[in-house]
Amino acid sequence: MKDIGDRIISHAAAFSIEAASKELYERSKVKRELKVKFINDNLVELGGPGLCFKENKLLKAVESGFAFPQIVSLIFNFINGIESILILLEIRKILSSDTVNSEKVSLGLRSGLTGATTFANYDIRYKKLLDEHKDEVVLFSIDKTKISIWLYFSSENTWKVQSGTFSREPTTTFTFKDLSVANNAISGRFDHLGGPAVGDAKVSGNLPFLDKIGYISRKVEQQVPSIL
Amino acid sequence: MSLNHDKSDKLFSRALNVIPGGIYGHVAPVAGLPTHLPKYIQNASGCRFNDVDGNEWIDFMCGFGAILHGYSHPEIDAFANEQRLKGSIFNQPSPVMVELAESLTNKIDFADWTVFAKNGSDLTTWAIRVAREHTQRPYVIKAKGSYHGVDAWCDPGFGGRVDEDRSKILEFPWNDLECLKTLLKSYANQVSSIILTPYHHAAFAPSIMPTETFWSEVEQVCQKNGIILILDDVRVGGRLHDGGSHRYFNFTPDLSVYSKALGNGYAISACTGKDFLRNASKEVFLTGSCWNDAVAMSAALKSLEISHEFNVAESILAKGKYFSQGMCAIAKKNNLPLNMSGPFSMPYPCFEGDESLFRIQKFCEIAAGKGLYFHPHHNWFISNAHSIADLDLAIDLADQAMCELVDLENS
Ligand SMILES: Cc1ncc(COP(=O)(O)O)c(C=O)c1O
Repeated sequence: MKDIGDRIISHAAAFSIEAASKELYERSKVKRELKVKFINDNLVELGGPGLCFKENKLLKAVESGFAFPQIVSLIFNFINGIESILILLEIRKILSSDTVNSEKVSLGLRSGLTGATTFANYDIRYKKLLDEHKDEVVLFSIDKTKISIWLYFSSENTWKVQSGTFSREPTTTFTFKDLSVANNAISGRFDHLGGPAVGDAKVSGNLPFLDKIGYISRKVEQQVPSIL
Repeated sequence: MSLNHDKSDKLFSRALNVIPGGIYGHVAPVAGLPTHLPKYIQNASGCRFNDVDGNEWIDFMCGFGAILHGYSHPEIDAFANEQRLKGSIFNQPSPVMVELAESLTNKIDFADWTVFAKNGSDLTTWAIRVAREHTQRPYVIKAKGSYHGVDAWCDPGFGGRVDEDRSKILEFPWNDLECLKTLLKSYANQVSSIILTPYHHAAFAPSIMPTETFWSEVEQVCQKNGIILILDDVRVGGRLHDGGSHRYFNFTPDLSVYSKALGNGYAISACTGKDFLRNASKEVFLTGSCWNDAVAMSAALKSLEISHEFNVAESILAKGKYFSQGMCAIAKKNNLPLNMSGPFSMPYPCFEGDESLFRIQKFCEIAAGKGLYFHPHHNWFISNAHSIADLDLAIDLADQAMCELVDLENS
């Protein structure tokens, strides 16, 4: 995939929303996913025709939970557009809620890691960083829960994130102590050096790969706006 | 089962408030076994140390290589203390600096001069600059995955760098002479130095010894192309041969850098070089606030003397062999395919088929519960303070840990 310069921020935001919607869809909470389509240099469509943002507006939507979509697209595809808006609002509701539960945490983890894979897929610096790890698979989980989020290099030659079961064994595992620690992590309040040392997370396996994923995730957290 | 680490944890919590990450770098808990190895150490002697919670450990990391003769070595400490009473840092160096330079220049067969600093990184970075100054060429070649220090041209981290930091650094896989030659062709007359460790001792991977012809060929291509051969002997120095690791592998570098074991725990590093680099060495600025530390220099002087007098490199190679063979024997008994890669004095343990390291991590975790300081992804170090009785005890405890590992895996 080609390097897309500064637009990587809106790409990461868009793919994170798509990932969150996928998680909700797989949990049967919404009727469909919000598939991302970049229509031209400036416009991104979420969930088919209807919900379409200028890229800068999308970033605002992600940060504040609301921004005006492109009205023309919405008018001409009203039903689909409104449905997509409702899904977006559902994601926002879950992620901005004070309640800490598996739904919120897996949504946050999956969308955050998808932001990292976007950086790894589109930015040459991060792509190079992960080049030697294409055979590896990281499993993120939370102790005593069923949450499993996998990060791997797919047969389509891109880094991907998936939830639930997976066909391969992990080469690295990262296990949060509990939902509350994982919730801190998705809100950018996890000390990657201190956390594992105080038992907030257990890391095993091939740590250099995890180290790099962690670094990229922190770059995403710094640069990509978030509701959290 | 993990040993009690309440005090260690409390200290660490305090540290998190005032030190980013609590403990950083290669000793950051997250780089090892975060909740199984101790975070803070109270005191150490010989091959054992006590953590702040009062647990006694048999050590196999030797301060990540800084300890060669054993912790708190009485003769070295006494000699250093004599100097400490006189003072350590002055406006000018103390006489011991000249003595130490003479000692090293004598002991390292190719060396005509020596300079000192505090850390290995200070001088690996300086050495590549000396080579650049001499050759007036920009590029440096290193082996992929080799560690040469904390500077931006070679550190293993990711942050705080710009592309230019590494734009003149080229890499080839260890032992891959074809790749090295291709690089030299592509960058003809532009390469100033090749910097290499004596063998490949990357973390998170088994160590790789040089092939039979590796060093002679590297030496040849350097000579043929006017490239400075820099030996980074920071980690291995003193552990294969008392006269420098090049003697063990039978080649001659143009510059070599030492640090870890040089002062047996006192902070000092040295770079020795051939006469033809003396002028270039004078052009590359070199200094540090506490680099003329007479206490560390005294310790290094004594440490070198002991290494020479007692054939310490040979001794730890023999002890390491005894230990590695013992470890492999108990592994075999437990049906575990253990390999102790690298030289015997600095073995890197790995289980066959355990590329993801889960098994070695579990083993080291169980061993930690028995007071064995085994690192899961860094080479271990044998010091001359390890006695056969210490090694036997460690092997015995490791045997128990392997039994538990097998039980756990079967359960
Ligand atoms: C081979 C090698 N070179 C250089 C260095 C850097 O030395 P220091 O940590 O003293 O700066 C190290 C440290 O581990 C090393 O192992």
